[in-house]
Amino acid sequence: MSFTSLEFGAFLVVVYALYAVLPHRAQNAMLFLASYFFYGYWDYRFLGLIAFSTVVDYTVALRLASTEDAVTRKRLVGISLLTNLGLLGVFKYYNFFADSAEHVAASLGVELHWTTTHIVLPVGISFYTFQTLSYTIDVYRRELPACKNVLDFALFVSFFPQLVAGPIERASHLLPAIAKPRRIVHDDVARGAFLILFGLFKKVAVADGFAASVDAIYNAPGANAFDVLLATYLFAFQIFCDFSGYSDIARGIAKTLGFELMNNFDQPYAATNPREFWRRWHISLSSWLRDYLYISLGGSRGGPRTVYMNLMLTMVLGGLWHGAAWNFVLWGIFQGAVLCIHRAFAGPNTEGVPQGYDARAWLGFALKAALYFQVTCYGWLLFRAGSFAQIWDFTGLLVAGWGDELTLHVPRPPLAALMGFAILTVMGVARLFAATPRFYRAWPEPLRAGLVAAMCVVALMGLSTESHQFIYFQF
Amino acid sequence: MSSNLQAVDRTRLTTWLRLVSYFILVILAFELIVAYRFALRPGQPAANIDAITRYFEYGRSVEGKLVRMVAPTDEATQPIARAGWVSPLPPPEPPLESGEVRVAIYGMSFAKHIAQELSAIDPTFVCEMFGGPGAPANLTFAAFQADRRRTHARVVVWAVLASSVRRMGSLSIQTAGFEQPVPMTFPRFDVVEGRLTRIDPVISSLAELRAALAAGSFDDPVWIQWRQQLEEHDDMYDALLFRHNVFDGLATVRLMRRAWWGRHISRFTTTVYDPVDGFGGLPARTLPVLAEHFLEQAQQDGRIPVVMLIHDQGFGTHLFRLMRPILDRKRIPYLSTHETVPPDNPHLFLSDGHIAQESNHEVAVAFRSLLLQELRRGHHR
Repeated sequence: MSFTSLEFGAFLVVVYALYAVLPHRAQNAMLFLASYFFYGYWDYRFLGLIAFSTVVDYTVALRLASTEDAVTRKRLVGISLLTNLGLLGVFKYYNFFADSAEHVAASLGVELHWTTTHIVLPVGISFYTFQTLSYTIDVYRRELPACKNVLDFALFVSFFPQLVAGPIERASHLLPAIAKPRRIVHDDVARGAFLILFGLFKKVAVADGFAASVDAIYNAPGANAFDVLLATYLFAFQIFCDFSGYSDIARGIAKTLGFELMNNFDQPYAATNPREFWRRWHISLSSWLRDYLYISLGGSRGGPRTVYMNLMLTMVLGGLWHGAAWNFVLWGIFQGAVLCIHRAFAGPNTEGVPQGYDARAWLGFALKAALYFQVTCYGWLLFRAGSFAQIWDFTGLLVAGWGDELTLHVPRPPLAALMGFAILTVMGVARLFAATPRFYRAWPEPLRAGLVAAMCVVALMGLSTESHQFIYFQF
Repeated sequence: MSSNLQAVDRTRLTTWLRLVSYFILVILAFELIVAYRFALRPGQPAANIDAITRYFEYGRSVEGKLVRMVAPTDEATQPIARAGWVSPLPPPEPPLESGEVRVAIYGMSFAKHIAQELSAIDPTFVCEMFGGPGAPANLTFAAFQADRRRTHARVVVWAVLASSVRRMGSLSIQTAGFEQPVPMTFPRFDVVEGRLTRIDPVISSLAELRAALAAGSFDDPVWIQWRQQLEEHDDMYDALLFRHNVFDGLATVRLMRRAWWGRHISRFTTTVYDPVDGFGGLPARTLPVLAEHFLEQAQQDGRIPVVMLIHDQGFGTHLFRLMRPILDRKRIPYLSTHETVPPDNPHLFLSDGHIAQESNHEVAVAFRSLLLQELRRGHHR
């Protein structure tokens, strides 16, 4: 059940109607059942996986809370890691590693005949696995008490707005919100409704609108340098609008129910360096990787070589988290390398968006952001490419393909996408100058109403073109 | 109501009412701009409609579009409304010059472009086109059947377009082409218990359609009968898309209807097509049987049958994969465009989806070779 489907709209109406009249404990029970229904609607067979993961982590955390023995605690957290990463390994990575091992062995003249099976990737498995893992690690680190209410914990793992594509919530943030009584507050409903509309607008008008133009170049032979450049720029906005659109809808739905989910995107293309980019892009994953992987590896402690190793390893695993394919590994290596280079030359400090109205500062910022956007886009080329051969071809075209005939083959995106992109650009610039995500509240009422009406109309126009599944569902 | 809901205070309520009022005013302004700046004028020729006006017209109901297309006279009727009718048959064929070979092609614009290239390469082939825009295989087959008593062609070509295969459960492109409906109607073929069945449309000519739409109120008995037939026998019929109502005048409603069409067509397509497994349902069981009937009837008439499989974008080579077994088994001569124009290469196609001229030329060269080979074989038989 996709957020952009009519079925989901009907589902949401029923959930709200029940939520408005039920007392707190019954609300949680209803949200839990609704979340399982939502997930089971994709494929009911995978409900067993999420239930298994829930039971294991709930039990492990309770046992962790009841023992002080260091060895037992390590074993318990090991069980959680093994279970969650094991599920991820089997369902997401088994075929990838089996195929890769066979290829490597074949190149060495050894024939391996490992069985690869047709395993369907359970939607959202990477998201809820990381969410539940963070809980047991926090309890193990004694940063969080174990949750005693199994229903609350099950709702934390399966909360439908963010179940299949994040944001990856922390238990320290979401569990208390589940445990305490909630009320439907007008400001939350208004803000939530705006976020839902904004997310839908980004997804159906811009992301879906750009998809066909990107696919026309990345899914077909015969592109030239100009095609690759333009299609990659379009993909940068497609993936941003797709993923941040989903996050906005998730946050909006949660907000109307009285939950505050973390902000997953903060104008990532305004970043002027990789460090800043990762503070702005998929914040819930990058902070997860920082807190549970990078810091566990030693973080910034130790010599430069150790720090670079830690950065590279974190980003490579972050790349692999996105998908079981070598281009995601390459994307991770690229991101790790860019972070290392930046750290080596610029140090750990980063500059942010200028304050005030100093024209020279803004011009410098715009140039740096535009320059770093090119680096980000090359990363997106690695991310979007269908094969190593395509990465090689497209990179070659970008480096040395400008002397060829440059007839543009990228199909023009539909009107809704172009209008949506224009509205987003205006909003993005206004947001930068205002330095607050709710900048539009300072606008005159007719202008605010006009913005909402424009988004509604453009979203409607977008809905009438071909729709696509959210990109991050596959991760 | 439960205590879960926060009480409403007056100041907040007035702010909200003001915002909602402004919102409605902006939407009304949008409606007015579209209604006055981007509205179709009565009798406006289709060629003179600008892109934005056309964009806002896509979501108009099918009935709303049809009354604008079909006028009391042929001259005032839009050319697309005159295209593709199986009835009445065209006038008798002009005589051939010595050495010329008449090729009757039952197809659509794709087949027409290939035929034009063929005639340009080799003028000894005199191609006669019969068909309509985006015609599905049931229309092209019905056209072939209807033309049997008229044509004297040496070669008959039954063209099947990949993207139109899913339309085979329809009786018209009124339902199967919501955004730009084509009024032409055609029979619906199916295979029931191993036998080919045929349902003929209630309206089978432009004259009948014109009479049924003359009142403009969609309550003519024939029109009602036609709608009932569509409801019962047309797999792609949807009343929400087809029937005219007062909201046709609102651009926002038209946008919503177009969005509903997007959902309708994608859901429908999944019932007859899978990107991995190819075509299923009615098209998969009917197309091979139609091919057999085409072969038998063409041979009965002493003509050379050729099946032309045209692969446009979006359906891979599944049409070829579906048809190859029957074509090979029955030894039916065929030409499949995927061999020269791979459908996954967008550079070989124009922005409107048609095959680019250079590629059509290559297809026509292959077509000519096939025709020469079949004609030689025909002489030896």
